[in-house]
Amino acid sequence: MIYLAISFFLFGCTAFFHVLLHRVLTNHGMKTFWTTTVFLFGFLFTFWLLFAPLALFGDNNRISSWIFIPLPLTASLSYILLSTIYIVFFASPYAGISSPSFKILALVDRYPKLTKKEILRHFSDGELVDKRLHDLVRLGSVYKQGERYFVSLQGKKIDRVVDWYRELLRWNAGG
Amino acid sequence: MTVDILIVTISGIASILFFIFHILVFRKMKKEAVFTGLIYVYLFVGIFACLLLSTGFSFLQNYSLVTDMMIAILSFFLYTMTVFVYILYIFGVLESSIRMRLLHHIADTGSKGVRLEDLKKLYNVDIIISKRLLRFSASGELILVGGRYQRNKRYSFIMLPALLEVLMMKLYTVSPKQSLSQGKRSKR
Repeated sequence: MIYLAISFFLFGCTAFFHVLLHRVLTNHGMKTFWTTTVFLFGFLFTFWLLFAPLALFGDNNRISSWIFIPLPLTASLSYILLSTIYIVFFASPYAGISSPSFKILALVDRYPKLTKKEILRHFSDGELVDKRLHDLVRLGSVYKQGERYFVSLQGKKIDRVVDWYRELLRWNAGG
Repeated sequence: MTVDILIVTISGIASILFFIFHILVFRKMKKEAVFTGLIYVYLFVGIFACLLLSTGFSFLQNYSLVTDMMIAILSFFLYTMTVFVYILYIFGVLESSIRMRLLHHIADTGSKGVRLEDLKKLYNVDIIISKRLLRFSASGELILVGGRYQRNKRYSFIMLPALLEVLMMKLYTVSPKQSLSQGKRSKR
């Protein structure tokens, strides 16, 4: 368990450092998603720290307490999974786009008993459609020619994978 | 190291079982009840796989009850995070992503392409919000009383990612005011 505690502590330190780094860079007009690479360096350090004692002293079979059972694999994997989850949630403030599902829940929490019309008043096509379409263009899945939007080769491939997955679950449409 | 490998193996087996079961279950169920379905499959597979496998392996290896419990809890923890990653990166994107739906509509038009106004006729704020309200109602998160939506459950699994998103927005969003004042300070 001590291995897990070390892993969580180092993850917390990396996340804290990432918040600081992002805020400093944003203040200087250098906002970038590459700041997430700090989690890779954090992982490499954690991995070294967790496996080094085993490499140096070997697997100590005399350990009696469950607290000190060596769990370098579990702890390393926990670090990777926590970082992966963290990066998804960082993507929202980074892109400035929040999930409409979470926004609905937050709205109904704040103002109980809302009608559909009242909920709709808090959303717009600009926020939900235009911003995301702009993202698709920026990522190269879609391109604009004149007034029309076209799917790129990369976009076609993504769409095919999504279609295959939906067929696997027997769902016709998402979104 | 044996305990360590055992924890990772059990969580891996449980995650594979979750993937297989969720496909089998979702092929039969209504799409609107997706949240409930996910939670039931996650709990059912997780509890059974982690508890049974850890007890079985511990029995074979002659581990104590405390070690057995530790293996079960930690493998369930790893399994939970793996399922969460799958939902966030794959399932969520394919099932409810607005971007994927927009891409699908544009891909459907082929070489003709589509104008923004026509795209919005097919997919717009009304459709997006209606789908989500329907999903929340089917899963029991929201209830519709007299044409008004209200929360059914005060606390639920869905609230965890919602709270995380709010926290991240607070941590990472640098307001223009703050940015400006810091800029002034640095000039001085």
